Amino acid sequence: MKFSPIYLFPSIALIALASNHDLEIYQGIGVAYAFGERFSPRKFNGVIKYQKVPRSPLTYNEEVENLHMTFVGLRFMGHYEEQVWSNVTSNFIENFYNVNGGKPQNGATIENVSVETYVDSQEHTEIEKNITQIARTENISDDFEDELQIFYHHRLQYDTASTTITHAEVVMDPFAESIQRELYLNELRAADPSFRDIKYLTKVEQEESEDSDDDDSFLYKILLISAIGLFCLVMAVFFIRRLRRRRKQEY
Amino acid sequence: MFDVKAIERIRIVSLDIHLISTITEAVEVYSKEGTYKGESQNYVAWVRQGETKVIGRGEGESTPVPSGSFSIIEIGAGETVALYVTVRTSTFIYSNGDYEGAGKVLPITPLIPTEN
Repeated sequence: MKFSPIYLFPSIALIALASNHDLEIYQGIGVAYAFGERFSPRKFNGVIKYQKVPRSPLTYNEEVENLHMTFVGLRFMGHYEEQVWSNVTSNFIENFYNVNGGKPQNGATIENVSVETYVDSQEHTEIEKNITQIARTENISDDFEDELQIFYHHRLQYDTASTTITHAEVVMDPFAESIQRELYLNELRAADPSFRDIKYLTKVEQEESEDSDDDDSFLYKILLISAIGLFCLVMAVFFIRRLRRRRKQEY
Repeated sequence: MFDVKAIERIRIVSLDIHLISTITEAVEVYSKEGTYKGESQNYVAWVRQGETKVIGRGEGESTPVPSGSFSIIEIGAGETVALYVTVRTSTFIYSNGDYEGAGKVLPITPLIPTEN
């Protein structure tokens, strides 16, 4: 009967064949090449050489929030354009962060960089934790023929085993730099001509915008009250003068 | 085909196997998350991590499957991974009736950490 490599018949079942503080090897079966006839049970008669990976959980696991509320003015996107948009966005961000992102200044190794991408369209909010799986699968209503607004931002989480690194030592997400947005736009345009009509892609500080709106409305109120007050004052002066003239004429 | 359960997070980088053969053999390494049980003939469930040619050192001797000949297999703490180490060309015959042909048992200290 042919099979390989050599296994030994087990003497004790359901007990680890070998173990130490790092791993346990259990008895198995012999299987002829490839995925063929089975011979059960058998013991692995060999050596496993391994490296021990630094222990998790990681001691630094703080979210580095870099919210980019980004506005993209697009024409209505069909399914194909949506897919192109997803792919380009995925590739760009993944490559960008792998190359440039997530390096702590003290040189500690970043164990993992996870990216959450929030995609908001006019119809929905979608969260994809894996950047490579960004997808907009819903059907967008034909009502949005002129322009589709898409908002998205990213939240990065850097994991490192370093015990000394602090939040401030992690290089902040550089995607906020306008040149990076331009690179993204260029890639998007290059990927598909239908994206040539992208009007703009700018960072929008939503909170500031809201504050700004509040400031504007307050200013309008002040101006309105001032205008009404001035109007009343003018009218009062006008009537007082008129009243004085009448009295003079009477005398 | 057997299960390995990691107590700590590890990366399997190389293997020694026991071949009765003393000629060049093509060794293939497969892995699968979780146990092999119930999946031993379901090749779709397995990931082929690599293939290499080794010269068998014969019975009673360990034949190295060096690092780089298959992808590093990482196992998280508490997780189980099934390994299937097989030789493509079945050039030797194993007696299924007794231990003859199985050679000597390699020392049951098969867990050799290598330096990072």
